[in-house]
Amino acid sequence: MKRVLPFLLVLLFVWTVSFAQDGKPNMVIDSEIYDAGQVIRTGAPIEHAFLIKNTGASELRILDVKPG
Amino acid sequence: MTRYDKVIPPGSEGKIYANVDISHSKGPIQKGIEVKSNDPKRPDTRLIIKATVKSLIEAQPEEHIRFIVSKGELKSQEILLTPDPSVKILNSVVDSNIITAKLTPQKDGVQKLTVDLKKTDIIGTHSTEIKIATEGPIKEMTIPVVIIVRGPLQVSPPTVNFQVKGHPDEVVVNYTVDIKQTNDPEALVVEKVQAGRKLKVLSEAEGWYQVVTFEKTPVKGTKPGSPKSVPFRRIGWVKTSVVKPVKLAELPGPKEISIQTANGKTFQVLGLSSTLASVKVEKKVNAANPGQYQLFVSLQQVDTTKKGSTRGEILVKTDNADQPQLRIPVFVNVT
Repeated sequence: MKRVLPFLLVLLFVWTVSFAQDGKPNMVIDSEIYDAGQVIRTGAPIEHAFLIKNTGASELRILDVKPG
Repeated sequence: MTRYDKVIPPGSEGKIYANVDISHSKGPIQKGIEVKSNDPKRPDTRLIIKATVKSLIEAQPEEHIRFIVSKGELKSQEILLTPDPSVKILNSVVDSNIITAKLTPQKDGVQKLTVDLKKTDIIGTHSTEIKIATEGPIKEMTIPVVIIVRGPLQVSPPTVNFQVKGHPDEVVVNYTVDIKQTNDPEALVVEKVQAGRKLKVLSEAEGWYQVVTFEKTPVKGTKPGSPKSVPFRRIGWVKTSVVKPVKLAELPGPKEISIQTANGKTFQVLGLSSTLASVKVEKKVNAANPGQYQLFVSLQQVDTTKKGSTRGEILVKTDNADQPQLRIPVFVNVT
């Protein structure tokens, strides 16, 4: 069993990778809603950076970002 | 408002930077950001920024001032400013010769702001602001001031609003139908509609559906001119199982505007035009009262499949030296 386990792990890894490599990007956003809570109006804007991860197998392109 | 990483390689991270201007906000706010990507699973994503904006100086009755006066008329207004204990109000500054502002201390750090109009000789809308210098977490507060100086010609109502009910979204007709009968005797259209084909229909309820096409040119056999004036055309009926036909969206009737002089003197309308092709305007002088005109504003045509608001203006040329041109805003809302 001890000899089989590493082999199984490698197999599992290959299997996972082959699934991910279907040639498509995969966009994962940490949090789609940002709540700044109570903000005191000082004239400064609220600033936030949304973190985007690409867990897919090809380039993720952000085509357009606009208020809406 | 936003900048972002355009390309994110596999296994990497990127960022969408957003900022929201809250200098004119108060209380809870929410701003959405639409993100389009090449990820086939989520081509459209909506990000949201929420906050509750708190002002360190409460203004009563409101945080802005609006004067509506006749030419030459001078008025005064007051605002009570109540600061948070951490803020001290120092002074007020005005960068305009139309108004003056003065602070009078009240109890507990509260200040009364008195705004006096000084000059109202130019007809139109004027904007300025009062800056309140403070000590504490904020250094300054801005109070916008709008002054509307009305001329001798009074337009009533001051704007024209047309509300048009648009069509509901596309629905799929899940059966084969024959469109062989038409309710328009001039339109000799026979068309077979395949099951599953998308049709624009007027209701999702079961019943008789009016099928509309979106051809802009009239089909052979139809009355020339009339189908052209509407962007869609009825071509017949799709029968489902039940009852009565659904009515087409009807355009609202004409709206009336009256223009008269405040002092009862006569004036002439020299020219009329509309900046929107879909809006027509006609005038009628009131025989009993030559100082008064009636305008009839009508909606000629509108694409009821496109929802949203369109803004235009009616331009009225007059012989009045103070107001040689009136601009009356027109809004067409398709809901």
